[in-house]
Amino acid sequence: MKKLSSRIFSGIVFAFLYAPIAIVIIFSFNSSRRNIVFENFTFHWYKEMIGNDALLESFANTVIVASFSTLLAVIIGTLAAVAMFRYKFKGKGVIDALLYIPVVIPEVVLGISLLSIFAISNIPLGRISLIIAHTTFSIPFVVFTVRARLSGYDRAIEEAAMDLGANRFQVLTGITIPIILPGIISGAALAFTLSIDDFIISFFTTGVSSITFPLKIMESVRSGIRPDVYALSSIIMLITFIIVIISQAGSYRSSKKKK
Amino acid sequence: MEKEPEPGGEKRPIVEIKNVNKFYGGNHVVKNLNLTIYEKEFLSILGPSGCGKTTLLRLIAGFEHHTSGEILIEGERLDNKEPFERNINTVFQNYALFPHMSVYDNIAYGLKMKKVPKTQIKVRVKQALIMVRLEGFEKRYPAQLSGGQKQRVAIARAIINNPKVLILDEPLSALDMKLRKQMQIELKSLQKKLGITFVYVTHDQEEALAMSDRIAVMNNGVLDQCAKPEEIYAHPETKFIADFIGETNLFEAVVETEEKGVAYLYCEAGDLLGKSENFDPNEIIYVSVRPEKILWSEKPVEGFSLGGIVKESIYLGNIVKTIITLTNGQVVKVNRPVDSPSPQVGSILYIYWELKDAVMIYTTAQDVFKQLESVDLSSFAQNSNQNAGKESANV
Repeated sequence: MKKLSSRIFSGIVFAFLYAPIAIVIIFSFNSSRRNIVFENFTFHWYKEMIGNDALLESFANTVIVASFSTLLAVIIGTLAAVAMFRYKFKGKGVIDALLYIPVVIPEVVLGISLLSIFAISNIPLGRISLIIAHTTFSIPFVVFTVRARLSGYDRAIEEAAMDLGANRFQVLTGITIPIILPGIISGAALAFTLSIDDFIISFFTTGVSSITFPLKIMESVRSGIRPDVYALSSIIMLITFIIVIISQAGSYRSSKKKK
Repeated sequence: MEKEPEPGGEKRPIVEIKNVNKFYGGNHVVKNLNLTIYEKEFLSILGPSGCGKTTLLRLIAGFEHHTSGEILIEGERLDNKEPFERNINTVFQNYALFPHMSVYDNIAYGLKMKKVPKTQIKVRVKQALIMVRLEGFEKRYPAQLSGGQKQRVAIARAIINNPKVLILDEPLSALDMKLRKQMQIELKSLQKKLGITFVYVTHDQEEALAMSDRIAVMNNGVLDQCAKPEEIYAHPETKFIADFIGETNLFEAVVETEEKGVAYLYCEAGDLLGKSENFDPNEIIYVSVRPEKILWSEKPVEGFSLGGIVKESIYLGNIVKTIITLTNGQVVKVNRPVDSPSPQVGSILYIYWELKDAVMIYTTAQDVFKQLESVDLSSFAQNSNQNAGKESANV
């Protein structure tokens, strides 16, 4: 009895979570243009999507911006996390608190502030401004994940490596980075996903030539969503799904290693 | 202050620490320390936590740099050498194993850094694993090992490099009692087998007594005494050592007279005797008597008048510990084997000891008094407004 009710309950939860996603996938194969009734199964929209240059370009833009902003955020965020873990300096507490602000501040505010900064400093709106903006809000997430990883880190490990003949560079590449790598990877994953589906900040900081995928979808909503957007969304989901499985498998393996 | 009997006679010094000082900001952590460590010896650095022993070790290993003085290894100064340039290896307190590497890779790390050929690494790792009795553990990760096994990996990782000196920083402190005793024996035999100098840092005096060729006792940044365990136990040079190494009864006493090798002393609780060591009359000294050396009788013995009441008798398995409170409230501990007689609880008795069992310890109090006598207080009174009276008097 108890078992049954818990099954029903979890069934409802999963339905709640995944039904909207399932609908997108289902309707990407729908031969009807209107997404109310399912007519026939078709790959038509996938073909259409491949022919839709504007859509693909926006997707390419998104990937480029996400990749560069993630790379920058990972480098800056990791260095910041390591420095804040290792050194005591004046104003460390303030910096610590300031790191949370980009996370909690309403995105609209951050978007407007970034826009005015770009205007003042004559940075043209486009890919560059987008990358800078996305890097800005991604850095704190990288700092948090790397720092969480560092919290159990014993500096004696680095001393042990030096004691065994490793110079500082070898310690960094052979010891420190491999140990905090899981933190860096999850920080990067966070930064990447945040960048890919960011709408509000991108809306403020993008130029005409660098429309991202979320902006493109938003634009098309006004004229009604065409099923080729569903098709691209489904493909993005498939890719995300594969990435999640790979990373889960990785963390499963490393947790088995620990036991 | 520091006698250094060379353990084997003609042993070669391997580490020489000369007048080394270390400051952390305004904190004087290591104070003018001199110590010579010889080849193939097992030297323990013993002291309570915060005495500077870990700092001393970090100076030798190169993780910290001393403020003044010099440290030589095989006659070569290594003041500015980085840890990775020194032929010294360390076993860390919490093992500091690399969590992302297997046991094999942990142990091979030092050789890899030295670019030793792979085939040779394989052979030597295998030998090291046999040495610490961990064959078959190559593929495990540190998180899959018990405390004792981690310890062995840490030791194997250090000794595989054939260091001149192996530093061990309280390596057994995280292990339970039984394992600790077992590892003590293993470490000692390993040291003999390898012929490497071990510098063993510990706050556990029993451990130091059991394992060491020599013990260097540190207190408050100062090296109090460095000698063989028996010497340290039988003839502690300072009150701190007498108190810290083993159990003891300390009597703060004043010298009355000295005659034919006997010092007639008195303390708060009464009269007592000690060995004559050319004290000044009225000099304040400490007499240290081990609990197993305290004798008792119903009547006062010639020269002694330390009366007390037996408060408690504690059964400790192999010995019985008796607690006697003297007339001034001082507590005296008496240890006896279980099968020999101990004082009866509630009885009133007098304690005494044989002269040879009394260790006489000088106090610095005497020097302070002497200095006080020579101070001209009138100049202080005149310059009481200035901080440094002496200096302003010179002006």
